[in-house]
Amino acid sequence: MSGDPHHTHHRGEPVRLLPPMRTYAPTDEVDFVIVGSGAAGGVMARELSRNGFSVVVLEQGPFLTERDFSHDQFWGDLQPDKALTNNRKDQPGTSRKTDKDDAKISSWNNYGRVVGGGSVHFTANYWRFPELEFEQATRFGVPDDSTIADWPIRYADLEPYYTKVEWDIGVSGLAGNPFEPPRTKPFPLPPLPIKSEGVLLERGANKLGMHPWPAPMAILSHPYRGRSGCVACGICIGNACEVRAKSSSLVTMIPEAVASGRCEIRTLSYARKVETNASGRVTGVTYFDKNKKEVLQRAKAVVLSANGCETPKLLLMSATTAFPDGLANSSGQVGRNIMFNGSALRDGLFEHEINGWKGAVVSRVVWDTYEMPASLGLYGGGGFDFRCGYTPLNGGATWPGEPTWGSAWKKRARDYFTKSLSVYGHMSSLPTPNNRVDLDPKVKDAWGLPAPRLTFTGHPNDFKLGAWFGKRGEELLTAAGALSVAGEYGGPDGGGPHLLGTCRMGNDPRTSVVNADHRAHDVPNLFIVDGSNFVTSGRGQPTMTIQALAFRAADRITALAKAKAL
Amino acid sequence: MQRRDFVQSMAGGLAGALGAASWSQLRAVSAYAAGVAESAPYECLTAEQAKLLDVVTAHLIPTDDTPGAREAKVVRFIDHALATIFKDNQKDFAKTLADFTEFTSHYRPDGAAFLALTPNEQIDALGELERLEPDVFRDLRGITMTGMFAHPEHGGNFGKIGWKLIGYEDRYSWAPPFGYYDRGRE
Ligand SMILES: Cc1cc2nc3c(=O)[nH]c(=O)nc-3n(C[C@H](O)[C@H](O)[C@H](O)COP(=O)(O)OP(=O)(O)OC[C@H]3O[C@@H](n4cnc5c(N)ncnc54)[C@H](O)[C@@H]3O)c2cc1C
Repeated sequence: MSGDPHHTHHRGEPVRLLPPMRTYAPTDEVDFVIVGSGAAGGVMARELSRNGFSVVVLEQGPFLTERDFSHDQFWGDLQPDKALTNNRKDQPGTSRKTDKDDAKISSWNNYGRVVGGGSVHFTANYWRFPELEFEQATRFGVPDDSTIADWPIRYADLEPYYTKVEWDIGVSGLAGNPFEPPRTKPFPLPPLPIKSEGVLLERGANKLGMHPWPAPMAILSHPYRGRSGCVACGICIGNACEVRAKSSSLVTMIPEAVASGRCEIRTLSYARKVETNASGRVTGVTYFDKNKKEVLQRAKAVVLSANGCETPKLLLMSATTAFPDGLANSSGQVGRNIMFNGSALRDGLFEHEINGWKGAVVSRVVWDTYEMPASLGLYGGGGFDFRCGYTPLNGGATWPGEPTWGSAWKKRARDYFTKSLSVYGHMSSLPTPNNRVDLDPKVKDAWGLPAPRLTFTGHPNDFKLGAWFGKRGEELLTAAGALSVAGEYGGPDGGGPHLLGTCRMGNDPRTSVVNADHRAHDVPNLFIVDGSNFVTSGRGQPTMTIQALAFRAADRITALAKAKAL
Repeated sequence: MQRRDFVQSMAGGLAGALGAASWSQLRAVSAYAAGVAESAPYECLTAEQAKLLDVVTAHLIPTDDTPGAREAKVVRFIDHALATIFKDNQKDFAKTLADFTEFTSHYRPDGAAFLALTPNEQIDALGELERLEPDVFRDLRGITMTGMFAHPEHGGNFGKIGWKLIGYEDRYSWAPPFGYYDRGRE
């Protein structure tokens, strides 16, 4: 599909896009194999290779670059199963509500399947978690039917790494949000320009006594480290950036990993089994190459960064007689506690043009609801933004109670497209013992591997939380001056791109999969670093924390390796 | 894929799942470009289906003081898409058309076909369809809207007629103010 990512041609002259890439033979025992090159995998590749280790990254997707990206929404972006995302025809997922139900083919697991993973086409909201996120069980107790627990680390442990993410990948924002936890450094870049949605959110929030603030976004407001600033093109949500302004792993971490001269990004390589020896140590990873031929890449240690769906799937597929329930799964926790965050959405129609399709998606946020008043009896919290729900393919949008076709609809189509926005409440969701991903006993993918099967029923608290956020969202729209408000959704998402919690970190090997160093409790030279590590869901926007965890994990793993303790 | 997943209404926050197509397939159709000759043979639709869709899509997005589905060549988009990016949905779409024909044949006691109805009767029958067979209506509306608003390289949205209708401009960079409310805040 894509051409060679390392070269292109300009007026007939070859142009080098990436530095020459070091390659290894599968029989070379490299220091680390990393599975996945997404938000976390990119950081691991860059940090470990720059720290002097030899690294092979196995990535199932292709290596696309901005030359391949397009404004045509039919390829990639919001259309599932296209160029950027996982293709359910080849890799189906199945889902069901409870153990009693038969799982059916479904598109519950939504992720980027390219070098850079989900960071290539994401929205790039980059929120730090508040301090309370890490100690909720202690502070608020454990609700019935939930496995919520404290993290084995605290905000203070992560703060230096949050700062590192901001400076190393490029995050735009403004320090001083009263609801943001303490930070040691300002943002490297000022906020992106305010949009009409941001002005309206300010209006509504100020009226309600809330505190709107410039949104922290992993999109460059100005040129930074050799990359262009955002040019406010017409399509951002779900699209790959054509000017390298979106701070994806593809344009930040991966080129720097390659430049180390010690890192190979091996694409179209689908990992199917983490290999172990008689002493229970990892020896490498077997994958399908682009011709569906099985290849074993040998390694001294393995890092799984394949995301909260694919990492547990890979561990469960790596069962042996020594690890009958799957690798690193003596706790039975691999795949469990899956969380997707919750969302509450309402649409508002305004008097004048908003044109939210221009520029980055979000320019203002409200975090007053990070911690909820105890009197409400709700567990968790979240934040709000105002955003434009429509891209040109949504030109056929309608409004409840108004004509949906004919000349009458046509007269209103421009209003729906340019004068509407959505209030989006992003919320926490509770982990429960039975919500999980495992291997479907029947459905197989195009490589003959089992489909990931989701079992999920939202926790009752999360529906109540969603209802509250929906109502508050309506108040924000009305206070902002909306002429009409529509929609009624609020609750836990039963799928989507936030794939969290399925290999949780903790100090107790009986209730968690990895320790605070991201090392599998059961396997000394196996590490897991991605969204699966989350103990709690966060209040929306997980990726900033996924990358902060990855930077911290890289430091810990480097220290262990240098001390010959792997 | 479930038939009902095919061409979801575009009214939601996200465009619907429109069947699987690979990136290379998508790029290949760009050669098709807009402006197929009026007389060119259809790739997928029968002449009868094309005629029916011409009338239906022109009721959904009529030509009035601004151009509509006809000028945007929505039927050419549907035909070409069914031969390429929506190839997997050919059967589903044939079923949608069959359901439509069956439903509208009961509109008049004499069982007249949709195309034999007067324009006003056709509009009325479409309203009935929307009310009583919302899934069939949604499929037809969905693919019509897709032909109106997809990138012109797929054969519809001819002359960017759809984009002009909604006020979308495919320039690759913008500067504030983006809308009415952020004026004075640049
Ligand atoms: C449209 C959209 C908008 C989003 N917006 C936001 C946002 O605003 N803020 C936010 O915080 N988050 C957002 N997200 C979520 C964000 O993309 C994810 O949280 C993040 O990418 C997860 O990082 P990860 O490292 O855990 O996994 P990923 O980024 O998913 O990376 C995993 C990589 O591993 C590869 N892989 C998987 N299995 C294998 C295997 N067996 N062999 C080889 N390779 C494999 C995958 O192809 C992928 O490249 C959004 C996501 C989407 C889709």
